[in-house]
Amino acid sequence: MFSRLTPLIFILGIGLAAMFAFRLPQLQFVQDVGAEVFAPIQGTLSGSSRGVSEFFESIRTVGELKEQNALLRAQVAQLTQQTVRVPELEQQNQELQAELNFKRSSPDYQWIQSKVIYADPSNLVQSVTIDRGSKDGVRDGMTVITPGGLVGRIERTSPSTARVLLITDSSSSVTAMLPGSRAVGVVNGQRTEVLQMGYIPQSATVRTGDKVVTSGVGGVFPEGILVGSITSVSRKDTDMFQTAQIEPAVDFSTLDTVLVIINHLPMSLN
Amino acid sequence: MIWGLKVELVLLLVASWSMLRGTEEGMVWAIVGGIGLDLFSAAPFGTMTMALAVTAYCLGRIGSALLRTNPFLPIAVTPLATVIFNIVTAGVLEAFGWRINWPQVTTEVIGPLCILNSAVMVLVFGLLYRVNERMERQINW
Repeated sequence: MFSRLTPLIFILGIGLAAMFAFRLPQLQFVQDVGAEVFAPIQGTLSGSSRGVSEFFESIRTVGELKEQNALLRAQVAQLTQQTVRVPELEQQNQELQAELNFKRSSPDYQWIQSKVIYADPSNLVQSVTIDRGSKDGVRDGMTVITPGGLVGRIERTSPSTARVLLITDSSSSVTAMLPGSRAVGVVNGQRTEVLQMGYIPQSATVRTGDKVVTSGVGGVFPEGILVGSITSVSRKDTDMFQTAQIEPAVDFSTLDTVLVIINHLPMSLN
Repeated sequence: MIWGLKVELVLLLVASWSMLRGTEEGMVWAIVGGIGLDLFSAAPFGTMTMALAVTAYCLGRIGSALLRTNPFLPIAVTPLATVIFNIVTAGVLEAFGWRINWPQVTTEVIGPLCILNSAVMVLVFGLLYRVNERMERQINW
């Protein structure tokens, strides 16, 4: 039995001796040399083992990353949607601000806002259809405006929609006035973006740039709504009246939202 | 919209079908298309229908003769279709109280529309020509 334990006792003895021996300063260098020799090998081995543990760690976290990825994609999609809406919201804000300013300057009018759905399919008729109708209180003959100026009048209504005949239509006539000289005339549509004002008395002073507003004569349109501004005047001494070309105050090519004045109806001759 | 004008697609479809299938079929589709346009227009109801019917009748007579010489020659007839359609429309409007400045309508509406409609007619007629061929093949078979 003792002979079987001998190798064990021998090894334990060497070990104890080494423990005490390497505490001696003189033998520290052996430890240092060993460390220098084995450090790179140790580094490689620990790097490999780190890689292996990271590999297994990554397998474990793939599921979590997928979830995070899906969540981030949803957030990006939501933010993209919000960003796309920003110009539209800015536009709406500007329109509402213009409407508010107009309300402050024209407190007598009551109106409902309406969107233009489509324009007339004919190239010879200038009209648009809006998304408000008789069930919203819209009636034939009501005046349609924007905060910028006069658009036209309701020509026909249905329960949910109404057709607006624009002042640029060649069948449209608006009795108008030059506020400065109080001269009255008739503004006719010409199918184009230029209106013509006729029957202006020869004695009236009409200048380029003068504003033209509705006169209220005839009771079709309320008084004082801006129609446009004079761009040119034609005056001949041989004629009874002057004529003028007018640039409309409203840009009909970009007409999107309009206001229907609901507390003014044309006077009936009956 | 180009030059402030809309391409008259319904006119092109009716004109093409009239030239390919004859006056009777063309006028049927003129009535269908015309009623559709009249429902959405501020023009007196029936204006578009009448204008399309007249155009379909005229082109149905001309088109079948032209097709025998060259199948794509009818495209050159598009300006005639545009002129007929718009003159009839303007005439009806004037009869109902619209002020029509004929020189302005001719130079600023009908003239440019002849060019626009002719450009689009290349596609429209080509498409309907194939549809017509397929229909005739099925009938013969």
